Amino acid sequence: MTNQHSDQPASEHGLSEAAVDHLLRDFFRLEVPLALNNPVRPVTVQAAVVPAHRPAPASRIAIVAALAALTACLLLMSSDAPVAPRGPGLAAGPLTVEPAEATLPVSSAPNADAGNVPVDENGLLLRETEEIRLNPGR
Amino acid sequence: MTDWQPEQIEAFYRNHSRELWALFYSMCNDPERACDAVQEAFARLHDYHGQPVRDLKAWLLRVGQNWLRDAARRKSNSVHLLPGLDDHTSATLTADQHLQLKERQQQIREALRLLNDDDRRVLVMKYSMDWSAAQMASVMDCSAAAVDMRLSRARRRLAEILTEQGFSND
Repeated sequence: MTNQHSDQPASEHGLSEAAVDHLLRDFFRLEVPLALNNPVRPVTVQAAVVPAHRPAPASRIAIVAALAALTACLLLMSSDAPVAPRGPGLAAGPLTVEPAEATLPVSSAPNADAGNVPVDENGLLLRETEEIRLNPGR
Repeated sequence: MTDWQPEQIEAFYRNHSRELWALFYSMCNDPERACDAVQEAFARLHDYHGQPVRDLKAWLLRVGQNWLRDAARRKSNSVHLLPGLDDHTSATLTADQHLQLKERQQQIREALRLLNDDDRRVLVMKYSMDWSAAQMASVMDCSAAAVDMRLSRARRRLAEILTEQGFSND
């Protein structure tokens, strides 16, 4: 390329060649479609699945930190709150974690009568649970 | 499907789509239409079932040129939208500045249209692809000095047209 443009204007009040050079550079910077500035693959060749948004690592760290802070606040609030009476036999400490209930057996051997399956440690049968009325007061 | 593999077409697109755009642009003076011609030429190549394509660039140029010719015939029956600058300028300009820039682009586009084909082509090749005189000389089959002379002449003619149009370079 040459940079030796004449600074003489094309006419008395006209543009110089250097001015036109500058003008054309600016013009084509806007004129060339962005798709060609950053070439894309021809759309007919293959469709690719692109995730709509993938958070940057920094933003992911921020999300994790915010969740951790929220969890800490909730734990702190629950430890300061007065403890409501709980069911019989359960510890009343503020941070006591109740043991998870054991899985109830609700089926037996393939050919057995399903109604005769005990569903608690007192020997209540599955059939008998059908007679239990929910909300008996209503 | 043509005898060209998809990977080869993709590589060719990456390396030559801008050059094809510039050549189409110098024919139609419309950035969006030139871009459509590039896309159309590659789409037709992908679906092409005819004789093997030996010179891919020449083939794409011919297809794009034919498409532009057909588009020009249809132009009178269609609504033609001026290309926007929104993608380039985003929110950095005020509405007034954006409007001024749009008018300025349109004035220069019109001045380019009024140039003869050779002058327009040499300016488009130079400024849309930022080629050196030596690169242009190899395409135009002339010396680098001759390219510089043609460029200089084209710039002077463009300056004259812009001056006649009352263009102000503020």
